[in-house]
Amino acid sequence: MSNLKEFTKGFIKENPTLVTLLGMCPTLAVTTQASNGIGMGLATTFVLVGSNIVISLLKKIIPDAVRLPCYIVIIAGFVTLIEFLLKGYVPALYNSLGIFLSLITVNCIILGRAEVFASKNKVVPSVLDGLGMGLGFTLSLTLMGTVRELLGSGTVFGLSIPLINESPMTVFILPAGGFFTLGIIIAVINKLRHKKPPKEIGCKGCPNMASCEKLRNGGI
Amino acid sequence: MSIKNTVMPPLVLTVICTIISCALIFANDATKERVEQINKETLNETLTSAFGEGTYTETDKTFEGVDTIIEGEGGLTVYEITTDGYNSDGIHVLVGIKDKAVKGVSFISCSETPGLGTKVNNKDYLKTYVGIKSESEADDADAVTGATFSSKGLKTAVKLALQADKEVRHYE
Repeated sequence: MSNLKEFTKGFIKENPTLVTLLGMCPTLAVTTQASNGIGMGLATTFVLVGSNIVISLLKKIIPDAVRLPCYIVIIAGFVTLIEFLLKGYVPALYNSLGIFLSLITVNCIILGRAEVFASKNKVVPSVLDGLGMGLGFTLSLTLMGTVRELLGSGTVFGLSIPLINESPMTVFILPAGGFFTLGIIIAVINKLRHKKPPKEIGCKGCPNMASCEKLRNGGI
Repeated sequence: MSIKNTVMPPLVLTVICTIISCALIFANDATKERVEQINKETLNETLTSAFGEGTYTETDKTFEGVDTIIEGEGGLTVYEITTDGYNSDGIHVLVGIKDKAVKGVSFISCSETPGLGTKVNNKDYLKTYVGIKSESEADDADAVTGATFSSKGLKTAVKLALQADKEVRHYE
C-alpha cells in the first residue's frame, strides 16, 4: 500500500469511529460541543502519532510477551505529556475535557493502531497512519459535536444560531442524543460508501480483516 | 527456558518504564511554573471581575472543605471552594461574604457537563445568590433546569462559605 493510502484510509474507508467503531467512550462523552470534539481529536492525534513513532522504532526490542504493557506505558507517557502542555497553555480546553483527557490512555484506537499497524510497519507509514486515523477521529468528533451542539444548545462553536436557539432540544446534549446522532451519522456514511449490510455477520465485511487475520495466524 | 524468554521481557519493560518516568519528570519541571502562574492569574482575574479592583491577601486561616480564605477590602472575605457537582470536583468557585451576607459568587472553573451543568455558570443566575444570609435561604434558591446536580453543588459551596464565615468572624 502506498504512503498516501496509509494516510487517507483513516478519513472514510477505515474511519476509526464511524467504520471500525473504536473509541466510542470519548466519541459519545465529549461531543456536546464542536470545540470539545476538535480539542479531543487533536489531543488524541498527538498521542497517536507519538506512540506510533516510538512503538514502530522499538518493535524489534519489545518482546512479544510484554508488548501490551509496554505499549500502554508509552501511550500513558504521551497522554501525561499532553496533559501538562494543555494545563500550561490551553487551560480552558483542559478544564472542558476533564477526565476524558487522562482516558485517552485507554482509547482503543491508539492501542489498536499500535497493535495492528505500528508494531509491524516502518516509522514513516506509522506516522502517516497515526496522522490519518487521528484526523479521521477528529473529523467525526467535530461532526458529531457540531450536530449535537446545534440541535441541543442552538449554537455552533459558541455562536448562537437564530430560530433553533429559541428552544433547543436538550436531549441532544444528553447521552441518549449522543447515540441518536452517532447512529444517524454512521447510517449516512454507510449510505455514502454504498455499503450493504452483510448477509452474515463475520470477518468478511470488516475493514480490519487483513490485520486481524495476520494476528490470528501469527501471534497470541 | 532460555534467558531470552525469562530475563528479557521484565528487563525491557522496566527499562521502558524508567525512561518514560524520567521524561515525564523533565516535562513536569518544564511546565510547573507556567501552570502555577496560570492558576494564580485565573484566581486574580476572577477576584477582580467579581468583587472589583482592590488588594486581596491570602490568609492562613483554614476551615474544613474550604481551599483558601482570602481577605478583601472593607470587611469582605472570599472563600475559594471546590466541590462536587455532577462531576467530582466539578465546581470550583469563589464565594464572597460581606456583613454576614453573600456578596457574590463567581466560577474559577466549571468542569460540569458542557451545555447542561455549565448553565449554572451564568451571571444572571449567580446573582440570585447575592444577599443570602442563612443556609436555609441558600436551599430555597431556584435550581437551573437540566442542571439539578450542578445547582446542588453550587448551593453546597455557598452554605459551606456561610458556615466558614461564622467560624472565621466569630458570630452566630
